[in-house]
Amino acid sequence: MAPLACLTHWYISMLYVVPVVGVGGWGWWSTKRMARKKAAGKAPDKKAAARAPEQGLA
Amino acid sequence: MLAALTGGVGTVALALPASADAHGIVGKADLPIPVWLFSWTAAIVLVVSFVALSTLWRAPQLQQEHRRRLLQLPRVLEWLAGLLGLLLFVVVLYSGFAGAQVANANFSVTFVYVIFWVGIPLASVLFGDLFRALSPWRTCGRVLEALILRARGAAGGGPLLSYPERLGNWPAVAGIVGFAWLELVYVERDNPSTLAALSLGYFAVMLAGMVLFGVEEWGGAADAFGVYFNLLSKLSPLVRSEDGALQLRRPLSGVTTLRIRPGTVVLICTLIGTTTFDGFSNGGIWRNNESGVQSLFADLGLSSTPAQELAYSVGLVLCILLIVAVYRLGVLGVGSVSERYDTGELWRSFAHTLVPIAFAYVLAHYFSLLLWQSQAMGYLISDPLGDGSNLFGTAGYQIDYHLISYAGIWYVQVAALVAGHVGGLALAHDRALVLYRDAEEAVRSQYWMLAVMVAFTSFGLWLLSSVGT
Repeated sequence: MAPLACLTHWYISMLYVVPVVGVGGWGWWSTKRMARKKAAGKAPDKKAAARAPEQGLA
Repeated sequence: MLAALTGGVGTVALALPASADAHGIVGKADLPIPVWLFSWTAAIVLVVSFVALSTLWRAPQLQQEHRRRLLQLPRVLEWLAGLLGLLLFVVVLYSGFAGAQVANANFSVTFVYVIFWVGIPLASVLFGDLFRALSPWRTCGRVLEALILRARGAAGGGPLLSYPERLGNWPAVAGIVGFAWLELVYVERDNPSTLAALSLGYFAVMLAGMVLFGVEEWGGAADAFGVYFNLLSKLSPLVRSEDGALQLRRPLSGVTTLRIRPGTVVLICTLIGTTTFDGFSNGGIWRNNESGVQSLFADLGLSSTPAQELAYSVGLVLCILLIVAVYRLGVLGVGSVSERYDTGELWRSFAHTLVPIAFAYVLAHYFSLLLWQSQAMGYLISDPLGDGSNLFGTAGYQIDYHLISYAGIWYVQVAALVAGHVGGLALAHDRALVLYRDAEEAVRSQYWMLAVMVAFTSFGLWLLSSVGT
């Protein structure tokens, strides 16, 4: 019974880690997503640049 | 220590481990949901709070105190409080040296570990910096300082030496670690005469420091207990102004004015870390592994007592370093959002957000100890020496352990942890709004602090639930 009790104790202890991993993971993913959006917003739109001379905009 | 304290004179002993009584007794509480689910619920509360802050709190609200005058406190009240503090200190010394050398029958042990170490922090948060008036060494320091000034006369005022700015709060850190070591590690911690001797030693060091560097300068930087209680009093909505007026300020706004000196951040982490070790050392993981660590030192040639003390010392230091590391991780995360501030600036800028967490940990871990063992003062004031006297007729008083149910204690502990961490979140969000260009960037910077707060909350609840396992 002692190993079972030990396993149960560790299992329940890990349940306390779940919210930390969940919130931390969500925060990490959100930060990455925003960084990607920011990078995409700053990168030049090559298609628009290619269309510009045809329309006399460059 | 806790086993001796919760024994009590003439009380009916509970059929429960005393150390568990004083911290967490979750296993004996009749709770509607599993204990670990409380940590999930607490995390949800923090996330909801974070979303609410992000949406509704778009401009800094706590950087100014917005004080409102309530009433004028007579100056004589401060001197009366000082005399009371001095009287209590003398009783601690006298009972420690001359009284029965039994922890639960001696005034000094319960007064120092319960009323002083746990009661005053709670009183500081509720009523402001009471210890500033009660401090016996500050009272004597002010008298000495006035006498020295009079003796120097026209030669000029000012302290004899200038307090080195680089020293900052590091002496206070040493003091807090020293007291935590005494409370949690030292095998003779229950000995009344040892406690009295150490109290006298601390008093002498404080007096010397105040004479050399000035009462306010030394007291504000190097007095471990003065600095600690003053830190927590910044959470209080009540504050006493320079001219003695009692004022009301916006809750939590006082802590944003915290002066960050060398060692201040480590001091706050130390406060959380020492309470952490207090809980951790009563849990299953430490109990199962402590003998192994102890035998490591015993194999180096140390006898059992020094080996045990060294093992506990290592545990204490590791817990403090763990808290420092978690906060550091949070700060690194905040810094990853923008290159506007370096890690050092952020490390100092967000340190005050840990103060409500430090108080939450103290309240959660020591609530039941305070509730039960403070009642021992009922019989100890009548019999401070434990020699059978009955000065005020209350020597027969018994501790009422049924004042609040075990479930009630658990709910208080959870509420304290959640409220403290929500307070920390609010402070962090408010500071981020000051530091960053716009509200969106401020919110983005706080994702990592949210994770840190959830980590501290879950860890605190795990510590409480694992006591006595």
